[in-house]
Amino acid sequence: MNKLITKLPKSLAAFLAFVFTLVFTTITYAGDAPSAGNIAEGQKIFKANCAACHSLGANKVVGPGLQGVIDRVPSQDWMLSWIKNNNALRKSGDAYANKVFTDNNGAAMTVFDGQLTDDQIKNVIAFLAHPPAPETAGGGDQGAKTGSAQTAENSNDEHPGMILLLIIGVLFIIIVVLRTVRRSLLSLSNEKKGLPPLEDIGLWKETVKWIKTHKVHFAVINIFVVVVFVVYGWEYLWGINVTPGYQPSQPINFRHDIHAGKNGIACIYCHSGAEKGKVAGIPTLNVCMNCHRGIQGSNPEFQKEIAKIYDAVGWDPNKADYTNPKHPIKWNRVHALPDFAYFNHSQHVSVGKLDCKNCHGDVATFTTDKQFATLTMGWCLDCHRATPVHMDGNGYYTKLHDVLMKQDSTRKITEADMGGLECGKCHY
Amino acid sequence: MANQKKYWKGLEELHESPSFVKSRDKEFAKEVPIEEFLGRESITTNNTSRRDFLKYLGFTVAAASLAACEAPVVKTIPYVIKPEEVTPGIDNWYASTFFNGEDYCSVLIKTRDGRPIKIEGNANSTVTKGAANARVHASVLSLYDNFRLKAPHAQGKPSTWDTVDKEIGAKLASAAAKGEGAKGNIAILSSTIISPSTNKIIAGFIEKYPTAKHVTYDAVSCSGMRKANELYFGKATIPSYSFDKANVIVSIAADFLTNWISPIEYAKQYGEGRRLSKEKQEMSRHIQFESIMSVTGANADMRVPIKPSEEGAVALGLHNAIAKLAGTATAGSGATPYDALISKVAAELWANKGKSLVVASANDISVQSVVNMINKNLGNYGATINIDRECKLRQGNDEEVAALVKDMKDGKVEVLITYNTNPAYTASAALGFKEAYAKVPCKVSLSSTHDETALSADYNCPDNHYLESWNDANPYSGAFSLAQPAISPLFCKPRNEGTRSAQETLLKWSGSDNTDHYSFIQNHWKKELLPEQSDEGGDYQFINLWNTTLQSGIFEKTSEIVAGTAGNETNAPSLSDAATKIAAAAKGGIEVVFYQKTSMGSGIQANNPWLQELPDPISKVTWDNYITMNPAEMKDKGFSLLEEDNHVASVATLKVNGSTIELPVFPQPGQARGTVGVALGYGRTSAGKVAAGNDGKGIGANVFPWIQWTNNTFQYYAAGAEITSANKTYEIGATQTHNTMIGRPIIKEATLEEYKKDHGARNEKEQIKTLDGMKDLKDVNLWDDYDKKSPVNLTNNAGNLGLRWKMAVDLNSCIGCGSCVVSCSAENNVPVVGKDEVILVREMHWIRIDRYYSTDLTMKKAEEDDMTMSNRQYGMMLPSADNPEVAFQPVMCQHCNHAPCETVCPVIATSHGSEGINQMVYNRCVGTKYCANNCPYKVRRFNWFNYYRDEKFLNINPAQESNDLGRMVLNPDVVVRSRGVMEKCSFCLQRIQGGKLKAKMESRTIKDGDIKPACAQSCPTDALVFGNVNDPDSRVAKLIEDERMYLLIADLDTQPNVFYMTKIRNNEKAILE
Repeated sequence: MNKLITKLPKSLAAFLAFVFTLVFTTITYAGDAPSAGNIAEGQKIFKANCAACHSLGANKVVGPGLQGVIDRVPSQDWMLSWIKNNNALRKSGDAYANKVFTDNNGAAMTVFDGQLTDDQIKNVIAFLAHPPAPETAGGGDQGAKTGSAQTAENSNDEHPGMILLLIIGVLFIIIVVLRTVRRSLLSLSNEKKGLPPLEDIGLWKETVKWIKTHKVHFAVINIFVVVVFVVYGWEYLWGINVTPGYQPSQPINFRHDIHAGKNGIACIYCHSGAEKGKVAGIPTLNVCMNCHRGIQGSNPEFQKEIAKIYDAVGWDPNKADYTNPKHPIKWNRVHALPDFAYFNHSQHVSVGKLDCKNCHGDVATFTTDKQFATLTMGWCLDCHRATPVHMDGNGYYTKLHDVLMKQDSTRKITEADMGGLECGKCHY
Repeated sequence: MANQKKYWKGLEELHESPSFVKSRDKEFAKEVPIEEFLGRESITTNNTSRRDFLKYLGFTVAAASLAACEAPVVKTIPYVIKPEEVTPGIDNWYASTFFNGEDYCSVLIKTRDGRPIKIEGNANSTVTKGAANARVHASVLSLYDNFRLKAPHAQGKPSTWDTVDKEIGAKLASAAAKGEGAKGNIAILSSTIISPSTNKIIAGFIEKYPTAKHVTYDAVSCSGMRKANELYFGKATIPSYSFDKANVIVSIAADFLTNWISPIEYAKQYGEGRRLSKEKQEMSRHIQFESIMSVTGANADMRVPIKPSEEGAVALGLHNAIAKLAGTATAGSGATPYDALISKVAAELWANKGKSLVVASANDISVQSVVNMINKNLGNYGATINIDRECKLRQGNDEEVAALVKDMKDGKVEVLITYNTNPAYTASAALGFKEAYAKVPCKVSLSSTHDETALSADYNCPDNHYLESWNDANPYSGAFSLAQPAISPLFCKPRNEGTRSAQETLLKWSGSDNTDHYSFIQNHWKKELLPEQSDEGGDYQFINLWNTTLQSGIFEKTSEIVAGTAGNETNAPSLSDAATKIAAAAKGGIEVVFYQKTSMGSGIQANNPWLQELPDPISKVTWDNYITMNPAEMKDKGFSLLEEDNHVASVATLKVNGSTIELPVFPQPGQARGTVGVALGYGRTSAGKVAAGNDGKGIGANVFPWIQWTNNTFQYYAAGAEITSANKTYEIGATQTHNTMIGRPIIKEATLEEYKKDHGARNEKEQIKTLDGMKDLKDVNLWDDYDKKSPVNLTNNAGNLGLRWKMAVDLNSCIGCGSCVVSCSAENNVPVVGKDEVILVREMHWIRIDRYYSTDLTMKKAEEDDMTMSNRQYGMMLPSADNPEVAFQPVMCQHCNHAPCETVCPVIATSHGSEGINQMVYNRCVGTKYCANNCPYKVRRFNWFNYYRDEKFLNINPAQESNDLGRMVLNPDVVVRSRGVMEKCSFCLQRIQGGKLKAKMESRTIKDGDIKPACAQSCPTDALVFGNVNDPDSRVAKLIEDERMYLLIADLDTQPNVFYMTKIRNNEKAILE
């Protein structure tokens, strides 16, 4: 071993030295520049607050696209004061600020002073300075493909009974064919031996005869058939009204893959009830109009769908005003729990800190929404059994957490331990 | 010595009649009515054969299983533009004010997705202090009443506001021109108005039409008291009372806990005065003189049955006895059969000078003058009575009403506007209102329904419901509150039709430029109320103050809130004059008392099924009006005592002044002999489908016409009545003997004296007799102790970190008012089942209030009287049907830790949660009813029907699928139960879960009082206390340590999570042995 090291060529040693230097310099450099954590934090804040109006590309959504924005603005400090309060900045007579304002047809940006701290805004700026590599154009399609592949697999899973029937059918044909062959051969041999020809009693009678002579075989077959029926029947009954993959058509062909996937809009932006209460909520049209006042669609297909929003909300794009009659959109519900099961989004999203994906799947790859989970009670309880309670930093659990950690700091407290399997937690 | 007293709920139980015993011992008191089902015409005329039936059955099964394969498509429709304050699934609460002309209550309104679904008391209020009664809780349902008018009507036909305004405007103008300045040819007749802005609007109306006048008319009036105070203090007023500050309370027929003037406020005060704790070992003593058994009388420590004609004499006797002690003048002979008692009461009052309170309900100037003198002698003015803080809740002036009706008869009134009053129904026959009303050429009604008065009006200008309106209120001088709409008017489209607030209507007719009531109130407050509070600051400060007021619901004008003085007699009235008038009170024959029921009041909400189904606190009768009579007298007259079949009553004909009504007779222990009682508020002929009853003619009979006109005031009794049998029977839907506990020791009570010596007096812990002698229950227990197990289900020594819910029920505080029952129905979507089903013992209330009577015969006394053992046993149950003591006991699911119901469920539909709650899973229940059978407390309720779908309940059940309006009241957090499942109290699990979630979201632990089930929340006397017993600072953890704590039927060792506190009576002597 030692020999090996000594035998290392000098060039390699030099290379290693180079790598070390590189690593160290990078670390030193990182002291000045935003850390990966800051950038990630910034990305989160961006998604929640900015993504609705600004894309990371060059295209304009409501506000200008932010590709290379940090290089374009006078300074990062300027950027900070702009985000904090662009009104004040414009009033102070800042030339660039007023130029941005007029360039964008005088559409004022939200004032974030009070909503975001300076540090948070700095994180956003850090994120803008280090934007993620642009997605490949086919990202959305890829997602769609995976989706359809999954559906295909599902359809295979759903029809094992068909295969079984097919096998049985084939076997039956083989039996009939073999019987005919056997009979022909027997007749031939009888003819040769001079015996009387085989009496043709028909398939049914022969089967009955066979059953009478092969009682054990018949019993075994029967048991097999009954077992198969019971097993599949049971499975089938459990599957009634369990509809994962249910993807009804919708009055507007709303593309989650574009909104949540390509544009990266946070789920909470539209389904804002999820953090607050029982219902996540389907966004009302004023939420749509936050962006779609400006975005009318890049191709005729999209334009047609977006026009449906305008129609429902009474927006006249020519007058740019809500002058037409309004009417609600009747969506087809995808996730419909029965009335007797109480489910509260905020308990899971705000308290449990669960990702929407846990129950709704990777919606960013769906077109219109579809049911991802089975939504059966067993599915709920499986998760309650496995998921640790999110106790950190929640004053509700502090005392309990401390006592339990003192007893056994390695233990995982699941929802089930907290009584999450009890009937009364969801049924009342 | 344990309490040996016998308790019984009804005479049939007392006499152990065979049919009672039979029904008591059965799981379900009535047979399942197969005949009723098979007897349906559709079934007998149906020619479906058995074979067809099987075919259909087979097809249905196949079709159903096929149909089940595909999930139905559910639509979901979001708002087009979401209102900013509405988030689907999250409650919004608004502070508002309830005042319907009778009850005042500052309230909080819970709205969900824009619909008001629950009313609760507003704890900010200095008047009602967070309390509310059954009528207030039920008022949310009246918003969704289909009987409400949905458009203005002219001559009985739907019209538009433009037309109606124009026509009425013309009539008003011509009347004003004709009147030549003399008052009276235009009149506004209204109930008491406590809204300052409405009064100003009416003043504006009178300014516009100078011949107009405003007359206030109360269906149940306090005019006599106002007059008496005018004589005595120079101001027609009603003072404010402090029942909490009084050590001795004497009430002469005033049912101040549920009906008299401001019952919600008084009940709260009374509860405070009666509360006992380690810190406060004194409670008030309450003496009640009355004819009927009222809720207030039932709570009294001493109750004296008197005839209504004797109320004055009792007051005078009391005055004379006290005057002797005080050394002031006496008058009249004052000889009553109760003189000995009265002098004793007088001595007690005298001993508590300045700390006592005497009230009387008689609407009579003389009686009220005498009561004033009593209180004056006792120095109660400035102590328990504040004569300078005016109570504005009853402003009716009987004389003015009579004068107006006379004017109407004489044809002097050309336009009559009735607002929030229904005199065609409530007026005494002596007034002759109906005839007079017919003579008015232009009758305008602002009523929101086609009630009896509105029905014959020329114009109906329907008012909004109070939950749809802006309003303000000034119940006491200095105390103000605001009412704000919690929903847009339901019937408002198109704007020219629909309903419109009465104030807006009057503003319009007054020719005001701005008819918006909201801005009118705001301007009025800005000018009249708030300048005093804010000299500087201008608009900004006003808006601030306005918003704060709107948020808290109340506003106190400190300059008008004055400490009570001893009262300046401007003009001492003549005592001898009063004595003469009192002596002349009408008496003789059978005296009929007209009283108000806790549920129905004066019948304003007669179309409210929640109130109709609320069992009367005393009689436990639902959906009916009846004659209450002393059982001993009933026996003499040969009326059924409801012993044999406990719901078939005899019908009697009651004759007063030549007119007769027929009503069933109900035996009422404690009813004064020689008197009968009939409730007001029934016999509504035009109040809607609920009030119409099964026969469509209106439930019960209307006795308002029998109100007498004496000494220029309305008297709420009539003498010289005759009662004869109508030789008919009538089925009464009473819950009285349902779910009986068969005389087991379930109420424990002691006297105050005993309590002071030993807090655990008469509360011995139950023991079990074993071979080794008497043993504590815990030593012979077969079961695992649930309480010892960790509530968090983690490790056995996680200690008491988890939650363990328990409820304390203080029998000393419970006044039996039924507020909790209605509140529970509203919170938990409890179905209304109707009278027929109540008769079949299928009422669905999750909480019931058992009312027990007891007697004053004691073991000791029986021994002294040398009674035989069997006579003693029987006698102890028997004699005081004349004057029993009463105890109330709310019973809901006891959430037993060793629940008998849980062990017998074959499908585990009921199970125990780690927080101590007995859970019921409706979707799992298959309806075997084993659990109900095994429940010793009889708190489980079986759904015999799809109450929300079955046409039988179409008119009464608000949750009917076909009734989109009624369904709006449903609480979306609680399931509407289906047929065939058992249901019961859940401790309001939805509130517990909601409270926990709120705490988690706010990153804090649960504070005591955060979570309250609907019953505990709505209890006006805080008799129900709910909390986490693992939190040592919680009230419930302290109460469970109290010596008065006991468990219901503890000897079964079911270990309930509901516990009771002994009732303490402020009696002089122990009568319990």
